[in-house]
Amino acid sequence: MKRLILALPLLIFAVIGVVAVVMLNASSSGDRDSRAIGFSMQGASLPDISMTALTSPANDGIINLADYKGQVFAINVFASWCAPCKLESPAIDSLAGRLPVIGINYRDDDADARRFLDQFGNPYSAIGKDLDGNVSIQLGVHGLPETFIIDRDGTILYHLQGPLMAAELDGPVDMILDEAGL
Amino acid sequence: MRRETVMIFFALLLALTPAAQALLPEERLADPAAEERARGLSAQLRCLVCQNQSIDDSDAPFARDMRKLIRQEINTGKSDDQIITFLRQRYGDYVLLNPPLTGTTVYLWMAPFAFLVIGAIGIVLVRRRKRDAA
Repeated sequence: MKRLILALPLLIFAVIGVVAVVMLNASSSGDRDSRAIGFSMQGASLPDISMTALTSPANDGIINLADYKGQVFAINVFASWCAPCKLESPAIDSLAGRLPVIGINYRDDDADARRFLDQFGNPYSAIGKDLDGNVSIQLGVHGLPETFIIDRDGTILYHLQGPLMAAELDGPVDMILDEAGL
Repeated sequence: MRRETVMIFFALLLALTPAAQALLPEERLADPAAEERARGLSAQLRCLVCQNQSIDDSDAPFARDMRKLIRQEINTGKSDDQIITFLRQRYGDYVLLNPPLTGTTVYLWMAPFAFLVIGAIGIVLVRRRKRDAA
C-alpha cells in the first residue's frame, strides 16, 4: 500500500505524459499550417466597408463594397511587399476572368503598389487602400494574401488564408463558381 | 559573500529594467479611464501573427492596428463585450489568450481542480497511515 502511494504521483505524470504525446501527434499530423488560426469568415456576411481607391477614381475615389451586392464577386487582400502575393498573381488573373475581383492593398505605399501592378498585371476591377489595417480587421484578415468569394446576398462563400494556387482554383473555387452559375 | 553581493546586484538590476512597452505614445487615448479599458482589453487579446503574445505586448503592425481599432471602438461608445464579440466573430476563440470554457477546453479548465482533489486524497491517505502506525 505504501509503495503504491509513493508510486502514484509518478504514475499520474506518466499517464499525463502519454496523453500529451498522443494529443500532440494527433494535432501535428496531416498538413496543419502553423499559421492557421482554425477560424475563417466563411458563412459570415460581408461587413459594409468603404475605402479610398488606389486606381480608377469612380465615385469620387471611394470604393463601397456594398455597391457590389447583387453579384458574385471576389476580394483579394494583397501588398507589394508580400512574397506569396506574387506567387498567386496568375491564379488571381484566372479568377478575374470569371468574376470581378476587388483588390485591397494592405499597408502599402501607393508608388510601390502601382509598380507591383505594372510588373505582375492588374486583374482587379477596383483597388481600395487599407493604410492602417482597419479594413482588413473588419474582414478577419490576419496574414497576406487572403481571398474571399462573396455571394449575391453578401454572404462570404469562401475565405482562403494564404495564396490562391491551382489546387484551390481548380478545386473549391471552381465548385463554388459553378454552383453560382459563373 | 562577495559572490552573493554580485548576484544581488544583478537581480536588482534586472528588477529595475523597465518593462518593454509596445504601445506608442501617440496611440494613447486622452481619457485615462478609456485608455485603461483599452489596455485591459489589449492584454486579453492574442496577436495572431505572433507567438503567444498579447496585442498589448507586441510591436507587430497587426497588433498596432488592433490596438487602434479597439480605441476607435471605445470612442464610439462600444462596451468591452461588444468589442470582444466583434473580434471573436472575425478571428474565433483563438483571438482570446484565455480559452473560453467549451466542450474541448473543459479538461483544461478542470485539470487544476482535479489535481487539487488528487493531492488532498494523497495527504489524507498519508496522514491516516502515519496515525495508524503511531
